[in-house]
Order: sequence, then C-alpha cells, then structure tokens
Amino acid sequence: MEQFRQLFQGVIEFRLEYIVMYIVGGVLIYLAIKKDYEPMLLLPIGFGAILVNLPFKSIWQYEAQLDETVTKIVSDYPTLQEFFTEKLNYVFENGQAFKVEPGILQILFNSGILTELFPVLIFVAVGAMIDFSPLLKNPRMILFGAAAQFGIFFTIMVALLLNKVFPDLGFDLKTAASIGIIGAADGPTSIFVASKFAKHLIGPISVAAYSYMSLVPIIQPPVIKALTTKKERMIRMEYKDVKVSKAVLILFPIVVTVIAGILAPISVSLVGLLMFGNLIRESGVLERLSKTAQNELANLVTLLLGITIGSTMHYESFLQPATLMILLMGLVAFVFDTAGGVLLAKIMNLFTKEKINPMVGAAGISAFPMSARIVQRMAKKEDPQNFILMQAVGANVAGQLGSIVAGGMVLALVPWLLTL
Amino acid sequence: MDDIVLGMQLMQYGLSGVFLVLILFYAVITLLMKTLPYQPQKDENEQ
Repeated sequence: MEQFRQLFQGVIEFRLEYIVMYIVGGVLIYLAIKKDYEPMLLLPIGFGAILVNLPFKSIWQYEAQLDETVTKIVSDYPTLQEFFTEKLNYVFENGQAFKVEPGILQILFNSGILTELFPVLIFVAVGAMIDFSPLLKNPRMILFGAAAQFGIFFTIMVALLLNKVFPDLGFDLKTAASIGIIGAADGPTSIFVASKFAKHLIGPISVAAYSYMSLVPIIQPPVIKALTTKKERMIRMEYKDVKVSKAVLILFPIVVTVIAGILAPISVSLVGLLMFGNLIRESGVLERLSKTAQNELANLVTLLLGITIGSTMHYESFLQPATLMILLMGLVAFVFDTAGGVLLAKIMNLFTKEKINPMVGAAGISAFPMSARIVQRMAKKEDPQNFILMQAVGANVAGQLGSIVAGGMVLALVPWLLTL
Repeated sequence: MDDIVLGMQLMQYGLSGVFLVLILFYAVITLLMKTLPYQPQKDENEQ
C-alpha cells in the first residue's frame, strides 16, 4: 500500500487551488499568444505559474531530507537554529532538522531577483534601445515625465487607506510603496523596488505591472478624453527639428548618472546601468556591444526573468485578497499617471504662449513607445492634419527617466521616513 | 508615526524630488545644447 501511495503521490497531493493557478497561468499565456499583450513576459510568467503549482513544487525546491547531524548540533546548541534556517536552507519540525535543497527556479530567483541582477541587466538593454534625441530637442517635455509619476504616490496613499479599513491586507508603508511603483509603468523598476521592500508580493506586482503596460492602449484613451475637450485635443504644436550634436548625446548619460548618483545614491544601479547601456549606444564605437545589449542580452534576461517571476506565483501566496487588491491598484496607478500628465499640460497652458496639446502629457508614462503612438492616433482622429508624435515621443522618453527617478526616490525615502 | 502621515510625506517629498531632479536634467539638457551645438561636418574636398 505504501508503495502504491509513493507511486501516485502526485495525484494524492493534488489540490483544487492548483487548478485555479493553471487557469491564471493559462489566461496569461492566452493574452500573450492570442492578444499579443507583452508576450515576451506574460508567456514565461504564465508557464512559470503552472510549473510552480505542480504537486511537491519540485521545480522550486527538492523534497526535505532529514539531517541527523544538524539535528544533534541544534539540540545541543539551540541558538544555531536561526543560522541553519536562514543561511543553509534548513527547516525544523518537532526538533528535527531537514535540509531543503533549492530547485532550479529558486536558484534563479535567489541569484537573479533577490540580488537585483535581472532587472538591472534589463536596464542595460533598455538603455541601449533608448534614443534620447526627441527629448534633447524639446527638453520642456521632461516635465511630463515627472507629472506622470503622480499615480505612483496616489496609489501608495490608496493602499495605505485600504489597509486602515482592512488591516488584514498587511499593506504597511514598504508594501504600499512596492504596490504604488506599478505606476512607474516600468516592469524592471517595479521588480527592483518589490525585491527590496515586499519580496513576497513580487509575483502579483510584476503581473500587474506588465499586464497594465500592455493594456495602455485601452486604459489611456478614456482617461485622456474625460480630462480634455475636443478643442484641446486639436491643439497643434510646432516642431523644430533641431539637430543634436554627438557630444551632447555622449555627455547626457554621463551627466545624468552623476547627478542621480549624488542626489539619490541608492538609484545608481537603476539610472547608472540604464545610462551605461545608452552610452554604449551613443558612443558609436561599440556597435557590436550595443546590438548585443539590445538583442541577445535583452532576450536572454527577459526569458529568465519571466519564468522566475512566474515561479513566485504559488497558490499559497497568490490566491489571497491582497493579490486582487494589487491588481486593482495597478489600474488606479495607470489612470492617475495619465491624469497627472494631462493636468500638468493644462496648467502649463494657463501660463504659456505656445500651447501644449494636453494629450502629450499622458505620454509622460514609461510605456514606450505605446503611449506616444496612442496620443498621436487620438490627435489624428480629431484632426487628420495634426502631427504631435515627436513631442509625445519626447514626453515618453522623459517618462522612462521619470519612472527610474521615482523608483530611486521611493527606495531612498521609505527607509528614511520609517526612522522618523 | 501613523502610516497615512508617512504616506503623505512620501508623496510630498517623492513627487517634489522627482520634479526637482527632472528640472535639473532640463537645465543640463539646455546647457549642453547651448554649449555644444550641432555642427555639420565639413567636406574635406572643400579645403
């Protein structure tokens, strides 16, 4: 009978919650394949979610093995239990020590996410892909990159207020900050902040960040329409095609890194490596490295990042009320990011001669180049002769800078505020 | 301190900080564009 049990232990250990997680994983895979929503991430995340919800979770960790030597050591010196648990992957049950070897996905998680390696490598790749010229030609657009981070801070407040009403959610300041950063509309920044402040929520936060980024074409237009009049949406903006010298393109990433490093040292691994990637691109002498960063590096890290994130979606941590709340608050963050950008443009129009089409403000989020394209499409719908794509691209590039700066601010301010 | 108060402070300092840093970048861009303007490469045959 025991042998029979061993043979079918997978069937015996099967739980209904696994089926729910297969549906969640399946929906993500469906969105990736059928709807083309961020397929490079949603597909590996979806499959990772299925993998980690198989009986015994062996892809995450191997079966615990009794270690009699450690059991004896800890019974003689009980203070060592914490060391064995935290540093050497031991679990203790009824005074017995069990060694739990990490599986392949836990090894990837520990070495790629907890060390921040994967998100930071993605930044090198993203930096190599960004062309800052549209922003350098029209630096005024940088303000929208700041205004469109409003959703981050608004959502942090929403999370904290929700926690007041439902204390069981467990949204303290660090967790709320990790949820709010979904509004950075920038997956690696969300993962980076969550890995520092709320490791247990990396799964739902990443899923929300990438899902809403892919849903930007659906989320932004109604918000923009609700906040602007037809006349405002028809505003034409003059575009001066100023040429940018190579020296400026090379100096910009260096100067930005130094400024960010001085003002918010904790943001250096974010800003610094993004700008390193950009410097490789703009230097003009590292074409091969630039192409490698944009293609091979980006693809390889994205592949590992996606499946590792998916592997954090075990039903015990994912099927919680907090997950649903996080998904809802991600939407709130994107809506208020868009509103922040649009409203700043409207305020600026009260004081400036050269009017800004307020829709350009909405492109201040980091979702590049989707947001800029949406704004241009909406402008064209109102006036087929209106062309504001270049201004919107400038704001969109500024959003990429703004999201990283906002991430750095949150990382620096939260620990400081908690010491007050 | 109450989390709501901390959240308000985070919003206040965080948003101001983002604006401050990006306005600084704006100044840097303006300065760089003014001091290092684009100069078309001279054709060597012209000399």
